[in-house]
Amino acid sequence: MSSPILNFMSSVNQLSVTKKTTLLFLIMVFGMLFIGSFAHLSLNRIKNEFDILYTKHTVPIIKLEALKDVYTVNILDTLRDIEIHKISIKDGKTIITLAQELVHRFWFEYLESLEIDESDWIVKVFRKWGILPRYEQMRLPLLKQDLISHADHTIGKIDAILIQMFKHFEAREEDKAFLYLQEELYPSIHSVNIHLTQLIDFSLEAAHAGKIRTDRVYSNTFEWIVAGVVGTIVFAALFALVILQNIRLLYAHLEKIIEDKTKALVELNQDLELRVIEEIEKSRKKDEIMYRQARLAAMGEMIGNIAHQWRQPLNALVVLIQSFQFKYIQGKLNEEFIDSQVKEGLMLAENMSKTIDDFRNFFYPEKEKHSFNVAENINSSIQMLQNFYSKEDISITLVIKRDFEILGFANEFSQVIMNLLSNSRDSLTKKLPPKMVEIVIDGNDNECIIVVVDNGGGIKESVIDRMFDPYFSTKHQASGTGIGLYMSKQIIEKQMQGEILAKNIEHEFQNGRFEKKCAAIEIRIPLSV
Amino acid sequence: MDLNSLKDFTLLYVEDEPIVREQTCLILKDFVKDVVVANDGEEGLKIAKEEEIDLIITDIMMPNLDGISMVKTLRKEHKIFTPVIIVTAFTETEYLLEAIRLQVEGFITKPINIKDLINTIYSTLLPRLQKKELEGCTHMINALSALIGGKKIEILKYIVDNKDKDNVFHGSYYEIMEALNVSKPTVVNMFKQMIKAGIIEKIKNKVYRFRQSELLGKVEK
Repeated sequence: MSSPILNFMSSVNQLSVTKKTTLLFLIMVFGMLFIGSFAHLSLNRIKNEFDILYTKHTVPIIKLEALKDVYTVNILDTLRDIEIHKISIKDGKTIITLAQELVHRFWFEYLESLEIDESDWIVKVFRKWGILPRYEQMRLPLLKQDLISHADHTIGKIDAILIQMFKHFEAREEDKAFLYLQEELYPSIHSVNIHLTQLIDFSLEAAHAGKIRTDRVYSNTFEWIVAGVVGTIVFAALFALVILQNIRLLYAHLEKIIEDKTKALVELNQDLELRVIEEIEKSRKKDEIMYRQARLAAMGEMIGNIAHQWRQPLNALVVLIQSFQFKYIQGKLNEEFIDSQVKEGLMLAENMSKTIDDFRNFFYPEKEKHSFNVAENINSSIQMLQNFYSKEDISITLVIKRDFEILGFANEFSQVIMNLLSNSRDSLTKKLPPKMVEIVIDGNDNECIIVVVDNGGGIKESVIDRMFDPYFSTKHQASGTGIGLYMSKQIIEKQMQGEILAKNIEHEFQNGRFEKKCAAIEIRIPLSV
Repeated sequence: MDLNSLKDFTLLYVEDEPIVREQTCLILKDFVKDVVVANDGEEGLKIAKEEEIDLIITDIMMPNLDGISMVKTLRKEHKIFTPVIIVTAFTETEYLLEAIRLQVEGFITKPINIKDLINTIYSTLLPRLQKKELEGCTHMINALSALIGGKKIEILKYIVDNKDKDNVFHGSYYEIMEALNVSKPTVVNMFKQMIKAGIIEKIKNKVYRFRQSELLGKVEK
């Protein structure tokens, strides 16, 4: 048996909180409605009872009493007064007629009151609406019926007696009248009074019964209302408890979820933090690798430069050595010749040695920043590349508008300049002469501005935004590593706190030539105080 | 190889690297009549057009005008076909196809091996030398023919024309007589004279061989 209840309970449990609260609200509303309407109903019933008590039971008693009084006072006393000649017969008649009217009226009203519908208020309402048939007077108890008919009869008899009496009076037969009075009127009135008193008793009984009924109704209603209220309260309270429990559970559940999620987030956060640190480390390592690659690439290029620089003296030395042999064949090998050749040879060899030294110095990593002269630094870079450039018919000029001493790593700065010059050379190789590269040193009190300009036609729009990106190269894969400009940017920005940018400009070169399509790389180095 | 034979020639040496140029010049000057130097292709072109040059030795990678372009211009535009020796470094391979197309007369590599250079000069100039010699010989023969006259020259010409690659003449007196309409004694006498002079030798009947001559230089077998 409990399983349907359990099913019901579980289905109730499964409702959502919103539904449950709505349900609770509805329960309370209906409870209130129920109690209210019940109270109203009961109140009406009681009122009805009260009304009936008054109209059907109390008022008739008064009427009957009044009727008795009329007989006693109005009629008998008046007759007495007539007897003692206190008032005239005429007046007496008037009074008695009036009294008779009163009697009839009271008696009529009494009879009317018997027809009052004493059924329940709800029944009355139904009758009014036509749901139940009209009130039919209940059959009165036999005794009462008898009494009423007796009284009625007696009242009629009294009327007749009085008529007879007045007939006697008008016939100036007062004695007969009064005899009549004694013999007929008194007993009748006495009789009617007895009947009336009995009827009064009946009404009292009915009233009493009515009171008892009312008490019953009241107590019933009271019980019902109490039950209703208690029931509503209990039910609502239970339900509210259930809902509260639900809410608590829900709350606890949500709290747990939140806790779990928070924990997960915290873990994730920690994990992410670790990952970020890892990635930063990886990125740093990558940067290191890139830097090394850039250095290697630059070194590779330098070696190429050196090889190139060595070619001439090497060729010359080879011929110089053979010259001894051939002069001997010709018989022209003399001391003078030997001396001059040896001197020349040694000079060539020294030149080659110097190239090695320059190379090693160039790539020697510096540990600290030093102050160095910009013009000198750039000049030495140009010197190292001079042969390479002249072979390809490219002229390099250094224009010093203002000279500066800046703080930094001189070798790294040289590498940047070399990289820019190398790029300029690459763009000029396939072009028609005149091929010109110019380096302009200028600036103001706040910064030193170095511009490397070439007339190689400028930088393409599609390239100019990406040219400083790592691994970006416009050269064929074999020759371009794409690292140079990126590393140059790193060196200028990170180690010298400067800026490097590229633009296409029109430029008038030192030799007077004005070229419209020039590529310019501008380096700005802030001057430390 | 007779190194002295080069002493009548004028060379044009085009090289932009000054020290190499100087040193090579120093050596070459002892072998030839004159070495004219040029700094780059433009100068070289100018000199080749204006002066009497027997041989051009040129580098390829030079400013202003590179060696190949210079030779191309010289040959195609100015129709000057002076023999050319290209001096090439390892890195200039792309130009070499062009050089081959131009049919330059010689290649040597850098760093310059002087012996190779001289050999190449010699073999490049040899035809000229030989041409000179030939011209000289032809002139001589014509003069002799005019001065001396007679059929002897004709017979000699016939024999020389009909010798095989080993300088051996297969033929009889009779054939010669028939061909040139000369008398037998003339033929016999001539052969006797030549054998005596050591110009030809008889190997067997109707087979004669020309002996090696100092005049033409040593022929390497």
